[in-house]
Amino acid sequence: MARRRERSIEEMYAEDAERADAVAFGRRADVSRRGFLNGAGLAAMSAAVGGTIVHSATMPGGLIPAALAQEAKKAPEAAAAAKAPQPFSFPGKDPGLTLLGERPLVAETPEHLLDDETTPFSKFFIRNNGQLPDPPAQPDTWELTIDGEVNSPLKLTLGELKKRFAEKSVHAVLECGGNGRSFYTPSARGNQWTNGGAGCAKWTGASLAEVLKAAGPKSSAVYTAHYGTDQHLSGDPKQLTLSRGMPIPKAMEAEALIVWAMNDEALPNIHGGPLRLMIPGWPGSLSHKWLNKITLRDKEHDGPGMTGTSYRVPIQPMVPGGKPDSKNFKILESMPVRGIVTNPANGAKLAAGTRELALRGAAWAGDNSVKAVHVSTDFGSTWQPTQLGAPRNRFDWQRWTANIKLPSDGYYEIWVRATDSQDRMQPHVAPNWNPQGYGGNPMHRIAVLVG
Amino acid sequence: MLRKSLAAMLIGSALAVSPALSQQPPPAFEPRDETPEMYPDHPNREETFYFCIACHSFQIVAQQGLSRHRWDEVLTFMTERHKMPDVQGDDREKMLDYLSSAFPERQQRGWKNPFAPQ
Ligand code: HEC
Repeated sequence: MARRRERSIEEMYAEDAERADAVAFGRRADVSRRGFLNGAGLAAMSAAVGGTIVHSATMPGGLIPAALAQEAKKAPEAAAAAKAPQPFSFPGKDPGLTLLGERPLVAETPEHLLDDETTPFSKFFIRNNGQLPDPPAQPDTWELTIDGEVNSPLKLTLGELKKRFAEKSVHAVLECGGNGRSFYTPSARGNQWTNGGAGCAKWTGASLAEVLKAAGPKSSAVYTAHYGTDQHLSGDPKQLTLSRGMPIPKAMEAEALIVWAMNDEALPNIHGGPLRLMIPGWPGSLSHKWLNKITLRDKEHDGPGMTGTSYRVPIQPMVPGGKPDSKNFKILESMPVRGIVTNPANGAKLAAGTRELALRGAAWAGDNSVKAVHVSTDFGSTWQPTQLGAPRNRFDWQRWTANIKLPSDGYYEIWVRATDSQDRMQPHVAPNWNPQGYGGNPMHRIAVLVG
Repeated sequence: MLRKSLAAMLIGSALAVSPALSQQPPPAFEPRDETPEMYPDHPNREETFYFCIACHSFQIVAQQGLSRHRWDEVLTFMTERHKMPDVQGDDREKMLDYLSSAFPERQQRGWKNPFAPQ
């Protein structure tokens, strides 16, 4: 997929051309967003958000309204270059997904498109780290190797895998380890996910534990290492795009699967088909796409994505923006609790006189379940519980509903706060700053306007 | 010159992927072309753009808003983790000039104002 561009670079430099062919496609990077008004009083602020701030009495001083929460600073030139966001387009995918990058292809699902109980293919987020492999002509001949600290290494085709192992399905959230990264201040490095690097699909395949057991793990096996066929973006075949792993007990969980179907369809190429891992509750990078090998190791894995500050969080909080001390970092395992409003959409306009609003949403909590979801319409001063559904199985998300009162016309913010089964609540701001922005799970805020 | 000195390295990485690609079936997804003009106009834009897009779209670069010091860390990370050719001295300073002026550290992100006056 990187071919054309590689050739143009080659030509350009070989010929020492002034610049590449300047064919504009009318696309512009979203490098700046609208500015934020300085020192606005309440009246000015209300004008700026487009309506009276109904609960202004409880609005803490210095709090930027959700509708204004955006860059306070901007480079004027960047503003000039900013055009409409680049449209997202991929066969079978909803054009409402937000494009983060095309090479590698990365797109997130705005919260309001996560309103289905099971996220359909069309709305499922996309995260690639390397070049997108072309789909194999005969998926059933795809080969998977299990080796390393095992007594009888296995090489199985997908066809054999389907025959030999019982088929199993789970509804589970797949969530990018960097979900929520954009909420960090100062900004963290990497794809700027809001809450949409997540979706909940029905995954079908073989139990990873059963397959590993068939290879006879030795007592020395303590950690997995995952490999796939996607090529590194540099095009260097010797370089691995990503190779992560997990402690054996996580691999042996009942819901960890080697997956060949998503939502009862053959696993699509863009989601790692024909074969991927699904390791629910932990960063999505463990759910290796285009899976062709799992190696059991006698020590923690050290592949690309395992070391430095990648997929790691500080043990002791560090100074935001400061220099990280790698000894103070531990691997991010369970994803943190997160709740979202999926209906209405942020920016919904409601008819004048609307006095009640039905809310819908979802919440999930990595390895844990969600114990409660609360909503606030007065900037967090008071909270009301929501009706929280049960998961269909462990690692499913939980859907919630609530009715809120809107005492008068005007501007409202709706904040949602989920609490996990260990009584940990979502914080106000992205916690435990780290340079690559893992663990960002501040409360979701939406703004609506009545009248 | 930034461009001249980087050209050799880039051609090296470009050639690594070019052989035998013509017989392959059409790729699953073809990214659209990008040009430097899509990004903020500051000195050293072209050089930085063409250097970075050897591997990925410039979109991932433009998504960031970082201080000069943290842009420097990004370059180090690209070299250590992803084998980007190491760039030092004047060329590195020029790239950092561009990156830190075009994509400077920003304060609040991740939430867009649905009702912002147009
Ligand atoms: C030799 C290949 C190569 C070159 C050249 C390169 N990069 Fe990268 N870069 C990568 C790879 C691979 C990734 C990871 C992509 C992914 O996982 O989505 C990456 C990711 C990034 C990211 C996201 C960081 C993160 O933590 O996810 C930034 C920012 C970035 N590159 C900046 C740059 C800049 C600026 C340049 C030019 C000065 C550059 N890159 C040149 C290979 C390269």
